[in-house]
Amino acid sequence: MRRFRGVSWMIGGAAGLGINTVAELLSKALVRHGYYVFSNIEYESLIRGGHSYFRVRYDNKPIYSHVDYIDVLLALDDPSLVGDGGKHTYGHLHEFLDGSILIFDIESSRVNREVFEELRDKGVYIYDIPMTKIVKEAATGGKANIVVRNMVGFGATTYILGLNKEVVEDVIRERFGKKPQVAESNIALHDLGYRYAMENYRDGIRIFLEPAKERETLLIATGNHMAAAGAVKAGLKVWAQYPMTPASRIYRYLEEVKDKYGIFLVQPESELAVINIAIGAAFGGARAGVATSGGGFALMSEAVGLAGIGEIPIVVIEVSRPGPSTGLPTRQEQGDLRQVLHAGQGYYPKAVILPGDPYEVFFDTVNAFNIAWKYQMPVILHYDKHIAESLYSFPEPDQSRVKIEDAKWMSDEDIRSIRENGGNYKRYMITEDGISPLLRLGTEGLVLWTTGNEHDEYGNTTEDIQQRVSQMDKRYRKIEVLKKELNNNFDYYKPIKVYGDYDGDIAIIGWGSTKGVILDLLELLNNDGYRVKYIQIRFAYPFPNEAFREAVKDVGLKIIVENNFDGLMEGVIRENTLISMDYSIRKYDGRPFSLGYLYDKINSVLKEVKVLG
Amino acid sequence: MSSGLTIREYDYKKPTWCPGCGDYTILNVLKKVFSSMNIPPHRIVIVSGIGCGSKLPHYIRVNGFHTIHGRPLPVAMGLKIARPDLTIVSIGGDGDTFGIGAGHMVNVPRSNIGIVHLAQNNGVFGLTTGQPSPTAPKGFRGTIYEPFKPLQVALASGATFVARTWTGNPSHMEFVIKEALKHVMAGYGFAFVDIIQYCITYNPLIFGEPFITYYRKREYDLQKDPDYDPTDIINAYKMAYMDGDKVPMGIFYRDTSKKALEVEFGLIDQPPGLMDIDGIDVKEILDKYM
Repeated sequence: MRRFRGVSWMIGGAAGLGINTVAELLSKALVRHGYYVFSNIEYESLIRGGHSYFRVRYDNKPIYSHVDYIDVLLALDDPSLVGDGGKHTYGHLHEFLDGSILIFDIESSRVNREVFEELRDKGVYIYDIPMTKIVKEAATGGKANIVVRNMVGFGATTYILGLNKEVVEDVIRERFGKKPQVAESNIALHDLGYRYAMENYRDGIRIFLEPAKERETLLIATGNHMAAAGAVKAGLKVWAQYPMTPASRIYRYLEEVKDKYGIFLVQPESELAVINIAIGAAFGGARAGVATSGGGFALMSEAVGLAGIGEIPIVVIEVSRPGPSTGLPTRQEQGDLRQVLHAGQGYYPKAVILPGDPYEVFFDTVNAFNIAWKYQMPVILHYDKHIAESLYSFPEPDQSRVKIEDAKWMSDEDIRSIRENGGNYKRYMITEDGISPLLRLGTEGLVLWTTGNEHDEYGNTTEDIQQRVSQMDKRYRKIEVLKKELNNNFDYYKPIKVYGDYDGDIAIIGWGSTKGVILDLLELLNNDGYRVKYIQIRFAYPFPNEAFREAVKDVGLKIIVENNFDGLMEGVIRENTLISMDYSIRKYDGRPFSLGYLYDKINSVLKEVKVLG
Repeated sequence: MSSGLTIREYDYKKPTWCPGCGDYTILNVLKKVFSSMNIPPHRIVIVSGIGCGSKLPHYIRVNGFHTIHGRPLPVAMGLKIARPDLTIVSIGGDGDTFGIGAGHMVNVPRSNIGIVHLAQNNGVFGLTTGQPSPTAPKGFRGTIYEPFKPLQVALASGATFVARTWTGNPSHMEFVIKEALKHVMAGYGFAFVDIIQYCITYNPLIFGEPFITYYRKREYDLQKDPDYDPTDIINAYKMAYMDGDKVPMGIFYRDTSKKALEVEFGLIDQPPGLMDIDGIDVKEILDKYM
């Protein structure tokens, strides 16, 4: 296994041992030191026990992916090291390289002592920190002392990585801000770990990585964080959600801010209720949204169609995980693209937006609401677990770049003219752009009808052939207008993004979370002498045909990378453009692409091409 | 709005229901109730499901949202959250309410959202040519289920107003729906009205007897019993289980001690559907991730 740039740290242990807390604190502290960070978690569908691990990779240059090896492992239990026979894990021993570091509590462990000797022979440096004993002596943890060992290990980490203790302590203090006593006892444990490592391993290997010299202030956040922030920015007023991994936390993030921003949150009985509550709220003029994963979305499909034919502006965030059915509930896959594209029976206009990282999620969430309201249709924002729950470091989204666009409402004049003529409001008026101006419910003297049946201009059901055709055509004219808007404002919506060597003769094509690993890969391939560009597809519907054609025009080799079984985007590209890929790299083991894995795969393609060429 | 709204002001399209259908009675009663309570058409929204009865919004000149099968309740709930200032009536058949939408029937009332739900309960799926509905007696057209118990479920689900009426007694229906609307408009919360009707085409007889005669003989008006106390939920359950020779009609249960959701959470003061969406600064949120 080869090393890539940056440092790869990992914490491993059973669920409930405080793995997330330390990884999140460390990620934040690293960003404050001036590093770039990418952290991703793997966990099982259980509350306590099993095996979870969180990787934190950082560097003084931008970094967007994880690697399969470990520079520093903080192992909180034996299985993290040697596994449990594969029941939950095979352990992480095989991920050590010469010069890697292990932080471990040997006296509390049942691991065969020979293992440590073998590790030392392999060049692994061991910080044996009696975390359990330290916690017991400090007596700060009470019954929870098994849990708070994480902070002792964190302290050792801070020492080994040469971090500024004050910066780390600030981060801890902020985390437990509401409970100062808890904060101080965690800081004390962190300090004990730090000092134990320092005093007992004066000559121990440490890792000093120079932080970036000049780096703008970065945020460290997940896609779900930015979905919540983006929705608030977009004017969200009503949010409904039923818990489903990996979308669940969006609700929690909104809950933290709902009072300040006047957002009503509800967790009703099912995803059926969720989507229909949102539809009711949007019908009532409130910006409404929902989030779920594939299973919940399947339940919502019929109602999304109602929003389609009823022309009701709703935003659905679909965060995918591996299916079918319950599949691998806490893991990664890009297997829902067809589901979001073809949700429900029949044909209705919609938009499907595919952000590639949390920074994009922020802007795309705002755009999703804007498009939903401007075009009066459902908009699906679709990303995957790897974006939803990984911590990315990225510049603060510039709010001044965001425009909030409202629906086309009936003007006072329009309203007056209907009143004077004693007529009724045409909710589904046939217009050139397909958009029928909205009437606010409760407008004096006027009423409106909406239905999931085919309807006439007034919104009353019809089975008339002509009405059916003209309403279908009217609805699909909205897509034509949307396509034009996306083209005319290409730099704002960026339906396609191209990175790397614009004139490159090799194109790597992807969507969603593969963005991070492909960006890191570009640098490697570039160093290897290849001229490569990365084409990121950000709209699945309407598909940016022309822009995609343009991007692949002079490309000699097209390789598509997807985290799924049968190449969903590959098919979407083909059906829209008749362009076929030369190679496809697919992964459907429930895990995201690591940098090393994708580098190897691409290299074998390139080797094959050379042989063929 | 000034008084003096006539029934005519609520007239709209001519229904396509079978002649003699009880849905006509419900439609006429609703118009009468709205006009007598002086609620102007633009302040009312009727949210319906799918079925013969759910076509009702197209036959009355108030705002209408004809949704999908089983979902009028959550749609009406979302709408009331967004626009608590409007009067929202949800209406659905027995399939909508007790079959495909049963999950909402047992949960939406728990929120005590201020909407009235009218269940058009005739024991069959008329529009799909007469299949048994959840309230059909066991054995009716082959159904293997015991009939659903609308009132018991409504009571157990926390509805703060639970009533039953029937299409053979329009003035009783008018009284009940009016009381349900008053309950909602006073901010007491969710009102459920089970409306017993027949299907003239697919279910005209009740145990072999014509619908009207069957219920006229058995109708027992709870509000005419001076001893009946609708604030006592145990009484309400007892009455809900009464069947056979005496079929209780009227207000089974009324709890005015609770606040409607839109009142409790202050939505009524600031309807989410009428709030500004522009100029929201999320710096405070973004700063948390620095």
